Amino acid sequence: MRLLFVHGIAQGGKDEKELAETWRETLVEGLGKHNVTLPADTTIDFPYYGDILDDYVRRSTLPMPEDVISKGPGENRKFENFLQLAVEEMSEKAGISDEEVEAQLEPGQVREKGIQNWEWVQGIVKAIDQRFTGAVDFTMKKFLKEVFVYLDWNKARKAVEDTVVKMITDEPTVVIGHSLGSVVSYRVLAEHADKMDLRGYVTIGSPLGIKAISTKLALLGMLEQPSKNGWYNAYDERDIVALNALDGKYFPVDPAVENFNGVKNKTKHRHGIIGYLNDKSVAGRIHRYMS
Amino acid sequence: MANRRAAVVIGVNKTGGLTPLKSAASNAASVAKWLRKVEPGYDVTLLTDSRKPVKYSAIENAIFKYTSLPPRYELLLVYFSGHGLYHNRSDIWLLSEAPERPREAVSLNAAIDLAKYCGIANVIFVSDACRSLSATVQQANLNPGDMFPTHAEIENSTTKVDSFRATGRGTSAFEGKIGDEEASFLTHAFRLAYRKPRAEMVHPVEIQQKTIRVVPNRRLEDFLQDTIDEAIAIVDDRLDQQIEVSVPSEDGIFIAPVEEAPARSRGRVAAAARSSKPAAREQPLSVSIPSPRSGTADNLRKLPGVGPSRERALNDVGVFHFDQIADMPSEDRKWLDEKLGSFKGVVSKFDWKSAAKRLVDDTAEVAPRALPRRRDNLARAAANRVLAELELKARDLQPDMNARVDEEIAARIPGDERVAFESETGLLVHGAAIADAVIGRSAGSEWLEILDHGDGQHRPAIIRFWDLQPGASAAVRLVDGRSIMVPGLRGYIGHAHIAEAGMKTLNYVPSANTQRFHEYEIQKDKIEKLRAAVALASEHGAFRLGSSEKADRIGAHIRVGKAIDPTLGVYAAHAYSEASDDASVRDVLEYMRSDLSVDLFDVWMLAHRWPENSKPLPIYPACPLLTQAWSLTGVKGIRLAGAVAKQSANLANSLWTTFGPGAFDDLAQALQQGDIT
Repeated sequence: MRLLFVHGIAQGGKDEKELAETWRETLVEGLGKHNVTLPADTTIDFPYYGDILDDYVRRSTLPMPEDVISKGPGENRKFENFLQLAVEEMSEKAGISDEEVEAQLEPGQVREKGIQNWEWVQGIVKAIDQRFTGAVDFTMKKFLKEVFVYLDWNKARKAVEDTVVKMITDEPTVVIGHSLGSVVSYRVLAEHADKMDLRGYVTIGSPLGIKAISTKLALLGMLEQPSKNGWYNAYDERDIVALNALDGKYFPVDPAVENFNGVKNKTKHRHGIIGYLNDKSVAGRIHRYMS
Repeated sequence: MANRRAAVVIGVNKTGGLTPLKSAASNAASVAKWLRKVEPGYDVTLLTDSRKPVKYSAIENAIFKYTSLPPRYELLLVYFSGHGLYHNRSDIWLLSEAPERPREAVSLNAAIDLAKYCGIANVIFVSDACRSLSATVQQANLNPGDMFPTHAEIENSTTKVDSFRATGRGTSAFEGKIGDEEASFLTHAFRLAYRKPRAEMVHPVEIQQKTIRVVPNRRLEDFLQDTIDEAIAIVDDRLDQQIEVSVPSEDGIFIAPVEEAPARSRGRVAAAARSSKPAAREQPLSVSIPSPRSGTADNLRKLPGVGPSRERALNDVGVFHFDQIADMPSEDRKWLDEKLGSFKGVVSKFDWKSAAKRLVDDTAEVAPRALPRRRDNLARAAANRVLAELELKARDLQPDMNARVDEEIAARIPGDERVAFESETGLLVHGAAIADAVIGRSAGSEWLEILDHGDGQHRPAIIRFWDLQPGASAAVRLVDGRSIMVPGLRGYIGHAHIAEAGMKTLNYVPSANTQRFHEYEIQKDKIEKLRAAVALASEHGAFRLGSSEKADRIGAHIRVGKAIDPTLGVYAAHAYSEASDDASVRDVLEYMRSDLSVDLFDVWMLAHRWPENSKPLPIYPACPLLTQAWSLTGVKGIRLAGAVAKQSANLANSLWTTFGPGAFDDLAQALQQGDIT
């Protein structure tokens, strides 16, 4: 049996072997809650695209919200549109109040009355970070920038996906995708699952339910259920990235995805892999798929 | 398994004070019933006025339900049967409370444009409605909605939109008694297309590892037209209803599969058993065919004992021609004897086999198979001529239609007037004398002089433009009070051809004292013929890019040297846009920018879903060039200047924008005051 781990954002510059080992150890910890361990014949593949995506992000000229304010909207309309839609959806779902956003703006700041009030968008981004991410290596704008580069730049998307496609084999496999890795693995499976002996698909901390993301995926090819043997999506309701269940409303595929919202992710921003793979239910489901 | 297809089916019998229709609501109900049964299946919303009025908000809600994001459907069908109008070269569906409530109406053209951005891969519109010209001020002032939501998540068009319109521009569609029931002719033809398609219409597709036989949208047009012609001829041979079809989708896109012949009823099975034939045969007789060859059945009533009902019964089992009966084996004849009901044994009693054989011989001697009855109409002929000009495969036309097309094309080719334009820029108006003209002033130095007001016949009006930097909008009043607004383009002489309905062409020819002229001279003959053929086809709504080959060929043929012929650029932008090919529209925009250093209004508008707020280049003229583009300004979020916007209810039914009397003063004032340039 093989486990194919597909990592998420902000992994550039890291050691892929160490990352793979961290995933394995965390999963073993989770399996321990069922008094089981990884079977001895388990192999682990860890396609690493962190540096590749970092390189494309560096080469992109996407403005950050603060750049948009200083230069005015229109520098990269597509990205600005994506950013605005995504953070507005997140803030609505997360129940971020106007007062919270207001608190992020400079006191006495002049308000633009136009339809694209970028100070306000930036305020939302900051409010989200303050309430949810709060970490230096993981901020909402960084996350959305990496997602956008991956989704919108065909070359970047192909380069990232190629790292996973290279590891497609016909041996029995369970695929686990985390964060952006759930988007990458979904795309690859939608295209290549028929060449695999896919025993199950697990997504954790997945942003696939964000409308701005699922719509982009649907426009690249109709949303489909790639796994005949089940798709288990687990998340912590406090994880801002995974704010929507992958259900009929947010990710309509047939047969439906099985959602589990009971993870209590111990990492600071509730999104880290080490707070997901050690969850009893997640590890238990991976084990079930493996057997 | 959840359905991947959805349909919004609308039928409105009664609209305001218009003549109540008999079949719109029932046709819609029967279409909805059919779609609910077919596989692959549809989620269907049926809206008819059989119990309560059909409101715009109900349609909008139904469409919204099916187009929410992320997209969950792969195909959406929007069917409308009811009263319709053709206003500003755009279709309007009238709902129950129109026209008294101006918003209780739908702009089909605007809906088609918005549908291109709805996220569903294929959207199909079936518009079984009249396209008569608006007859009252109330009708002209309708404020129709566009049905589809505006999704900010979707920036580029990813949807192919197929459309089937029941009739030609400015003409009526009909309903009548077809067989035993009231039906409108287009809907009748649609239903028949899946029950009895011709063999060449059927295409196999694989869905979930299963092969099914379908009728692709792109193979429907001829059958629909032939069926309408046949059905309408029975009701009233003087009527004519020429459909307009636009299908940019590929062969895999279809509304429904072929309805395979149902298993026989008990009686038929019993009869089949007696004749020791297999009961589950797809066609009941060995000689059965799905539809008449070449679309025309023989008159089977010439057979002894055959009236309308037996003819229909024969047709129902796939018998349309004498030779089928002449060649019929005895077991088929026995089966037919049973099938034909009250007169059992009629086939043998009247010896149909011999009678049919005689009729086959007579037909062969007297009238070797007649041509299909369908006439070439001007729209098809013009589309065909465009193909010929593009050196693509075109079919032979009937000689009289060829002559007609030649004549129409000649009327759209600029004359050989060599007017000396030291300014390199000007406008000739053919077919109408002019009274006045005003030019906009972007740079402040532009001016014009009228060299000749023209005589409205052989001598064109001549206007010379000076000091354009590098373009301007010019408004021209014709002596009959109507007016036009056209772009002045430095280095080009415009030729406006005015006909009874308004401006029918606007051609731009490089000024003789420019470098472009030499390149133009080399291609002149070809480009002018193509431009004229495209103008004629566009006027009849028949300039469409149904294949990538045609789209590519157009791309190559509209170039003159490194530039794009401005007129052909406008036509091509509209055709590319209609085919959801945004990238090609943007190509046209870029080519034209590099040549003209200005944007032409229509190309600029069509090149983007939301044209940029910051305009990199000046845009001329200050209003849509083609009348049909006026219906799209709303969905593109464009605000026309007040003096221009108020003219939208004062447009002639011409291909190129022509204002009715009274507009010129407003436009001239706006140009002189710099409100528009």
